Amino acid sequence: MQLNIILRSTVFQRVLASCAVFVVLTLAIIWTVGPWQISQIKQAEIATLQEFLRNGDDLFDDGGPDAVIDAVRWSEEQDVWFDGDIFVMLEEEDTLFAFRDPEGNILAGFNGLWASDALGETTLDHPEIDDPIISQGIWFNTGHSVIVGRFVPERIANIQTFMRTASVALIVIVLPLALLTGFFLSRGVFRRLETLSKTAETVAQGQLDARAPLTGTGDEFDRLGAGINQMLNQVEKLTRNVEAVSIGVAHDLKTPLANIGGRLELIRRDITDPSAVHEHLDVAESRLRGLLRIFDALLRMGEIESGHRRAAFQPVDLSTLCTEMAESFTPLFEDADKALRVVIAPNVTVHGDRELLAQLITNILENALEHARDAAQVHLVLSQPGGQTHLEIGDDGPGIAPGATERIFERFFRADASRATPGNGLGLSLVKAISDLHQAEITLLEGRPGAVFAITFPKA
Amino acid sequence: MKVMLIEDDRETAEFIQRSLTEQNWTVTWCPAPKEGILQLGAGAFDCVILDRMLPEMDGLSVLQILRGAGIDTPVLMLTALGGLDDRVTGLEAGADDYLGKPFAMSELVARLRSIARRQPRQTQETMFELADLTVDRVKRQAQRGGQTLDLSPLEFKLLDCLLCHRGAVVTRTMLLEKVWGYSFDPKTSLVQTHMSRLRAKVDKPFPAELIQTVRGAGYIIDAA
Repeated sequence: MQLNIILRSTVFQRVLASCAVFVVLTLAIIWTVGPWQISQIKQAEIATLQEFLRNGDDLFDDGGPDAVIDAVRWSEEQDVWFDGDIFVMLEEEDTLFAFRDPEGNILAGFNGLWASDALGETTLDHPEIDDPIISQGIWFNTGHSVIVGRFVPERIANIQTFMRTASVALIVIVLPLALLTGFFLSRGVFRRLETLSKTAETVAQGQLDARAPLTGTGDEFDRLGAGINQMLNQVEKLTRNVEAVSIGVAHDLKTPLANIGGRLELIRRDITDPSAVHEHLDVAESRLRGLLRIFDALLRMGEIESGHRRAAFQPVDLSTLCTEMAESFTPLFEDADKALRVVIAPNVTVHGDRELLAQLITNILENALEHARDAAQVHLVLSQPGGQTHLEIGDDGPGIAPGATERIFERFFRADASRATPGNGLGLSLVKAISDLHQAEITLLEGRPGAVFAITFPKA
Repeated sequence: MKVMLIEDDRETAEFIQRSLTEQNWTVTWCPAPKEGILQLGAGAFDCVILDRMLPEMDGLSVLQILRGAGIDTPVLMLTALGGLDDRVTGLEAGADDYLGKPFAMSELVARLRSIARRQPRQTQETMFELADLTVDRVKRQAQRGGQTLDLSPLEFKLLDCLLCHRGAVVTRTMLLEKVWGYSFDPKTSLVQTHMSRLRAKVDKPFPAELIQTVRGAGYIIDAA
């Protein structure tokens, strides 16, 4: 399969690299500790051997050749060791001796043992034994000589064998195993990742509802997948929103444009009748203003949603702003035969954009002005319960139809009841965008006879 | 009135030129900003209409060059960018007013009159007197025919704003900007409602009407 991809995968390369590091480190340890141990053993051997030599020297000085012969001979009856004796001797002892006269004739010990007066490694002059032997001799002033030999301990050979075998095993077995492990590991990871990237591709091809399958184990891939899915949910929501907006824009622009076109046609027809022409112009102009208002609202919404305005946030005296708004709107409510009741806590300040907050309050008040029943009681209450800034604006009827409450903040959404009144369905979207920008929470309060909006600003 | 028009779009420029010429104003049109800057340096103009987006140079840069060269002819900046920040940056760069495209010609004329050099700057005065109307801007009191008018703070601001532009049309959006501080347009008849209340107090009890509605344009205050 995708061998090339796997070879390039990070997991594979990491596994391989870590194994290589492991192998190299292990080799280094083996080749450091092994020789060190060997030299330790050798030094102990040499110490023992030289101890024997010193003993031999002392014996010769004190008791002459006989004392040395006594010490190194094979048995009471036999001074010299023969080839066969060595095997018997080696059952119990591990040190060989050779005591010779000045002419080099063997006096006691094993004749096959030769050495110089310097420490060295030799082999025995023996038909069957060729194991290495450490040996050293000493020459007395009479010309006699004693040679001591000790077989190189088997442990050293063992250590050397181990070092070689382990090295070969590490290189020949562990490295290929690492290769295999890396391959399978990375293939596993690759398969999990592949499902995720397939999902991304599917979404990129336009199937917005595709989601990454999760195994439910909660491992890192599941968490990544869950994160991607969450992102995709948001992307889908935003895309659907943009689609809805585009459709809304297209629809809401088409009607006034058609109206303007119609009026232009009527102007051509009624060109000789100035009063009719004036009427058509008035209508066309008001439609045009409506269109521009939609554009302004959309542009402003884009500007607000981009969040750039947040940089210009300043402390805003909400109490003063609300008071001014109330002063501005009270006559409008009076003229519309509605009442605006205002309760404003003093010195309430929020961090925000004064003009946008003014627009937020304006839009909600205008909503009440337009949609509340005749003789409605509209209220604007600014309070600070528990240090939290709370703004409530609402009326006492007829309120928003139950099915429409969830959609009121959507762009271009207009409840059926409000279709007859002028408006573009962007007022409350703008309100929502402004409160989002201020990280304030806006809710339509339930169980009220009218439409009551509650805006809670975060604690400063 | 002599107006310098720096605008690259031919159709917009011709529309502005024709409409302003009808007002008996002299309009010099420069499609290229450099040419406009040179002419402004050489001759006396009462105001400049400056497009924000020009082919060679950004309108803001033109403004900075003008102000840097000590040319303080009032500038009205025109823009297709209608963002809140654009307006602020334009005003901060030294524009005297800012108008988004598309605009009504009456709006442009009113705003040009308001900023033009010939318009006496009345904002520093402490008292306004117009026929039998006196307004004390320090005490924030208005009297007409010796009678104190009972104005709300908002109505006083409206009257004050009209008097600052005495004899010139003040549009609804200018009032929204100057009195309310809004750069958005409320759906409701906020300005009209307060204006009609103001007129009920200032004009209704008296024989002569000082405040007039200019249809499709705005309001004007002047001695009858």
